[in-house]
Amino acid sequence: MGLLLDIQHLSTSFKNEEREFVAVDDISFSLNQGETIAIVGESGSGKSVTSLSIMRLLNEKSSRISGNILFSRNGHTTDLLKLPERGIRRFRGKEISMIFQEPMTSLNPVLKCGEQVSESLRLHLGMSRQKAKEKTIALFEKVKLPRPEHIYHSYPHQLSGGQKQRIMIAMAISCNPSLLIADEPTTALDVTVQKNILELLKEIQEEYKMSMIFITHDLGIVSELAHQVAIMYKGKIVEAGKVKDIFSAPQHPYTKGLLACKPNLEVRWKSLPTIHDFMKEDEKGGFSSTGRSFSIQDKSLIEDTTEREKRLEDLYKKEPLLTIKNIHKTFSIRGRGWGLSSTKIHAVDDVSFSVYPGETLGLVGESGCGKSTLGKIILRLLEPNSGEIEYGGRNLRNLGTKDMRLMRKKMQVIFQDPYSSLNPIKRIGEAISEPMMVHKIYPSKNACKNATIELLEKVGLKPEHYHCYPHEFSGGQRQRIVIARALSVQPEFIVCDECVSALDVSVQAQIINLLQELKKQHGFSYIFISHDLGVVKYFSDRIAVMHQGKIVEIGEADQVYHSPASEYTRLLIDAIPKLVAV
Amino acid sequence: MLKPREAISPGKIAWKRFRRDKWGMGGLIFIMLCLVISLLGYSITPDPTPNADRQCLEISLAKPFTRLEFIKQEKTSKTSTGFLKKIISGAPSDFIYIPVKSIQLKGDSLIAEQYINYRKGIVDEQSYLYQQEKISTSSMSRTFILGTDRFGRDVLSRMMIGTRITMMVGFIAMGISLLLGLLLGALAGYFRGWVDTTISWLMNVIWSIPTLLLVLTITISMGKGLLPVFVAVGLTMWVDVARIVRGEIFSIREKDFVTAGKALGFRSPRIIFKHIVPNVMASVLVIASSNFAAAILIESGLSFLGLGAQPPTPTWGNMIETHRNFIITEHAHLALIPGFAIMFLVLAFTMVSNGLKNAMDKR
Repeated sequence: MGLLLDIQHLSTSFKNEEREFVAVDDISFSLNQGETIAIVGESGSGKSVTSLSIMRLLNEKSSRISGNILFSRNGHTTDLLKLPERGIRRFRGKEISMIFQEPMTSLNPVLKCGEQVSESLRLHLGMSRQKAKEKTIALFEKVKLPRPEHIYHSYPHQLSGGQKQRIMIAMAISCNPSLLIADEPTTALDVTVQKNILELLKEIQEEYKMSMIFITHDLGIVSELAHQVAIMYKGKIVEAGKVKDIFSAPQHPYTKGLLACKPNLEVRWKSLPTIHDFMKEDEKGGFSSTGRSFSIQDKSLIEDTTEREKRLEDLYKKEPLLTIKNIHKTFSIRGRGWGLSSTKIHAVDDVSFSVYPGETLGLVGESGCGKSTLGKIILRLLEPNSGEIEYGGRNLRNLGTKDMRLMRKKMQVIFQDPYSSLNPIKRIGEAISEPMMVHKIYPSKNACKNATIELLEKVGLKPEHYHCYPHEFSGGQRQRIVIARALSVQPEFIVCDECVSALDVSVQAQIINLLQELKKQHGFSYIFISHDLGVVKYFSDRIAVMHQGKIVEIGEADQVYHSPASEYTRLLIDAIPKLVAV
Repeated sequence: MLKPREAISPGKIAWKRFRRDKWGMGGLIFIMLCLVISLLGYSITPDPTPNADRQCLEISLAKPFTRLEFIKQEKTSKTSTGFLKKIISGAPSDFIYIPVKSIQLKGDSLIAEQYINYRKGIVDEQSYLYQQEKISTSSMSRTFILGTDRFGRDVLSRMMIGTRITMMVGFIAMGISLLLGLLLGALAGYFRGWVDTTISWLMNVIWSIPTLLLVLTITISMGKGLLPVFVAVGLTMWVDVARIVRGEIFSIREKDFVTAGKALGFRSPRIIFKHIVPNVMASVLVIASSNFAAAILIESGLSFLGLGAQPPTPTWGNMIETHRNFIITEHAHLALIPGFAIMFLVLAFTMVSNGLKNAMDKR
């Protein structure tokens, strides 16, 4: 077990016309042969730039890399940063290979999958066409693709996301590299698929005695995979060490925060801990610990189970606010070519449930299960094929355009992508006050403006943000703006459609706390749609699990989690990455 | 209550980026210059007569920077033109200009060595009873910066008035194409379905007709002149605009803020005109400036073929046409000057269009 990769004082900066931006700031770490290091950080922490710097895949004109990247192989040590472009190409793919986040775009859509893998075999190892094909099929078997012969001749669009990522892995290991860099390889995948891919990566890493750099934003998934962890924050490695040490005794407040802000599956915090509970940051970018600690033994921080039971009991005594009955929605996909009939997809298949006033109903399922479609149907943004939607005693599907428009004040929606949810050319003040004006909620323009400022403050923004444009805000701040806009019409019922999925864990915790706080103040009812069972379990009173358009299980959150009735729910729960210790 | 904070709008960012683009800014400055020239028009042309058409055959084909002496003879009928009209369509001159080599006063007569053919240096001596014939006793000199054309007209003045025609054709043709393109493109993009099918079909049909042929047909059936050029160019170019707008709206209407607008109970017109259309304007601006360039080219081509504005109206195209035979003589500049003017203006618009495209690149 010799040293494979030794990174010393690596710094990467980008410059544009105005300023220079340091993405990676003097980091050092080393990696032994056959070892896995996980680099964990939130967006903008510089983790991906680190990997691209090692591969020298950054645009040389606009970026500057300094430091040493020493790569040892068969007794020779090379500094990758000193190699000319031609020299580094011999390392790429052969000695060091990479898997990217997005399996949909990493494969060339017009080439057959098998050919894309055998191409690199022929290129790097000089194999003949026939031999390369045999080797490719063997590799497909290794990454556990079903019917490898068949998949060799398939095009990328014929495969699922997980299968595509397996092909990427096969391609990456095809030349027996000594280092594999996996950049968020499972982020775009469903949890159940993620679990399988992680297992596969671990297996392959052990079998080939490869070293691996595993880059992720999710601290949870590295505990079983990696030997070492490096936590990155704003371009620096704030803490590094053995997995066991980091998980059992994190030293840096940022690490502590990161570990704590993911909803705990065993207990329910009154409000989720956030990074700021652990760490203070001064203006110069230095950190200091706040000295606070969150312990699951501390009863004052944890919601009391008997209190919760009592609250829920009161909740279900009331008349339901929203009842949907036997909702069906099919999409037809036109067949390709002449004479092919269209195929129908049952996106929502006979779904019925009720939501009670003040309740949070969690709707959980994997991508394509119909949960977002259902959310849109409830808000009548999509018409179902059949079924009834009753809200506050009125049948929404019988309402005319005018009545429906009035109804929209009561029901609001928050979408997943904070970037596309806001009109880029409207000031946020206008975005929030526009609905108030349209519905004439306040008598004057000035009153609308004051109410808007109040809302901005309520969601944790500042009054002077009124005149800013969306691009001046981060993802988390934008989601706050979107929430403020939804609140502008004083709704009583809000559908949150994956509204924290695009956010970093620490920001996610803040937004969830905000939603929780608003619910307490205004007595909202939520439908909380998410693919993340952990978050849903924390946030919801009841959980409905959706699979292939059907509700497979609905029940009290803890009960569903601890004693799932359906096989599918059990599968989902198993796939949640577990933190070893907090 | 609220201190107005310096907010950086997407438009400001684009402008900031555009200003850094040397070529784009150069193009914009050139266009601005042309715009100023065409707005001031007759008030700054050396020759302020309508269509800059003061013919003086004696001095035809003078070289650039030729300096000539003139004596003025008052016309019998005078016209008075208001100030505004003077700028818009020029004022007929009250004098006849007679090019002279030298003058001499002898008693009540003025003896002038008068040019018969300046180019060949042929001079004729003529005496005038200056009081009776209302002739000025002193000569005045004029410099022809770009020389004179085959009819002895000032080329600079004709170029300046030609700028006005060119810019006008560009603006009106672009206006027509934007109006039609935005409307039809937005309808197709937002409503989709059969509306889209019909409009797309129409676009494809117009697309498949060779532009110049269509323009020729329209011009011929409507008669020669400027109006058919506007109509022809506008009617063919809207397809470009419509295609871009339709595509943009397709993608914007899928954005969450449009759905959120629906969920907030906004009516369709508000969503289309206040939320979707303003987001399309960036691309429209880009296509508008490149269409402007295309319109100028088509107009020049038509003028060259003798189908555009009719003489004596000066357009760059018909100036080339009139002087194309001189291209192999020492007077090649007569055709080259309008030629380069067309080239530079088209280039300027193309560069502005490119600069805009880069500056407004979606983040």
